[in-house]
Amino acid sequence: MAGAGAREMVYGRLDPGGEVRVGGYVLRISRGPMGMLEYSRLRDGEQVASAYIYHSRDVRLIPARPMLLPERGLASCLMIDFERPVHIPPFSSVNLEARIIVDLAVVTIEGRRHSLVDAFEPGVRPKLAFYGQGPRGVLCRYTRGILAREPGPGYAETRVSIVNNSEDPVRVSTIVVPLSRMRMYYRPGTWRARASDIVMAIRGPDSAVVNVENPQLGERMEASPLAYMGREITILPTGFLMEWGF
Amino acid sequence: MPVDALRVFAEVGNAAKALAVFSLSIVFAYLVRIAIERRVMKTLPRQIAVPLVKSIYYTIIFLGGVGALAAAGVNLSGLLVAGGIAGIILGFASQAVISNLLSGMFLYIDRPFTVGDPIILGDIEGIVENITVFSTRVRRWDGVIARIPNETVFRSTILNPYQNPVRRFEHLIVISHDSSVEEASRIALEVMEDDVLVLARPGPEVLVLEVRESGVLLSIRGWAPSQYWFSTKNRVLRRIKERFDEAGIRTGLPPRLVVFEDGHPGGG
Repeated sequence: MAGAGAREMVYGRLDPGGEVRVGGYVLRISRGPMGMLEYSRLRDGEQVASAYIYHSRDVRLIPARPMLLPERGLASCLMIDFERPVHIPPFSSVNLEARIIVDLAVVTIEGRRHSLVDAFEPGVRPKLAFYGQGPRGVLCRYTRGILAREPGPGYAETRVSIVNNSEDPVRVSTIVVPLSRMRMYYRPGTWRARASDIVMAIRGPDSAVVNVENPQLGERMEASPLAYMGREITILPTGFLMEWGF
Repeated sequence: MPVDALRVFAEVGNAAKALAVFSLSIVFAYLVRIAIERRVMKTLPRQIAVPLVKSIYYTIIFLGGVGALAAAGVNLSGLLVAGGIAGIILGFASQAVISNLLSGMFLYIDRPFTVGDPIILGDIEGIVENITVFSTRVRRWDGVIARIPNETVFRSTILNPYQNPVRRFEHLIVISHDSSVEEASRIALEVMEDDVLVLARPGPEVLVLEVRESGVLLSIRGWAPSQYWFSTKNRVLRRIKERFDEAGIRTGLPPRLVVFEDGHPGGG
């Protein structure tokens, strides 16, 4: 039976000939015809995705920006909905450690080039949200931003800085982050993943600019290949403009 | 000098004037064409700009030809009368053509849709295949191409379901009075929350719209990305029906009183 002898998988290289378990799935890489590798993803013994991999020996499971699911190219932003709102006094800032969702991607790497083989969710159902109004709005991947928890499969740590530059106290419950600029990092052999730092600068009573910055990485952290270059959204040179009050 | 020679000189002079007028009109038409092309080609689509430029070009040449005939001493009063009558006839005949042409131009300026947009235009629903100078071609969902005159398009209410990235779907379901409204609402919400293409925000909702004789009318609403609206709506309804059947929730039937020929009532 598929998956019975599978070992638990972590980020990193997938070797041919074995089976590994990720969330509710079993990933299998075997030797296929004409020197190709045969990749399959199974759920409850049934194959749900498969591909031939030609002439590549470096196949990896990586954390990817959450823009591959439920359909590639649908979401251009990540909407983080905090479990509890954060209150920030005027002219002050707060730094939070949070965890956000990632997509799991199987990629082949050849030197500096890579190709996406498969993408799947590690058990967290991917959901979408809409931010903005009418044709100017954007589709976002939706995630509950949970503060200060250890990330497991399907989650990445991120540092969220909220700077209140306005004269009024603010209450932040949602942040919309442009995914095109976000990067993911992981430590091979573990489930540890880190996303770009998120910086939200509140400009006034009805707008804020959200941007991402390079994080401070721990030892042995590697950058995930981008896996997918999605549609670019219109963002300010300084970041994504969040407006509310409508 | 003999009179015949004078007449010949006069006729040669008139012919030279006519030739000059006609040549000048061609040069003028050419210059106007280049000037208009430079402006119009950048702003209007090719299928509208080309006939517009050509019609202006040939109108100037036609007027130049009429001027040349006048310069040659040809009496144009008869021609003008005939031209006037022909103009009226042509005007009536080409009314629809001009109306469609102008509507096409206004549609381009207004831009209610572009090629590739799905639209709902009266009874016709489909994808815009082409917008020409006189008509708009829409590929209906069944693959049939509909050619709609631009005037009709311009006068119609046009719905563009893809202009907004997301679109709401709604199912109206009547459940019987002996079924639990609370359970039906919970199941419908669960189905929509489980579906990856039903948005988390704005979230799905179930409303009780009416309490009818036949049952309770529920409105089941959710939002989906516009390009997946139809498939999501369909999948959600099928799943809700399956879950209602599993939970024993019955959809309401309108009560009927059937009277048999012998006068005995039956049914209910």
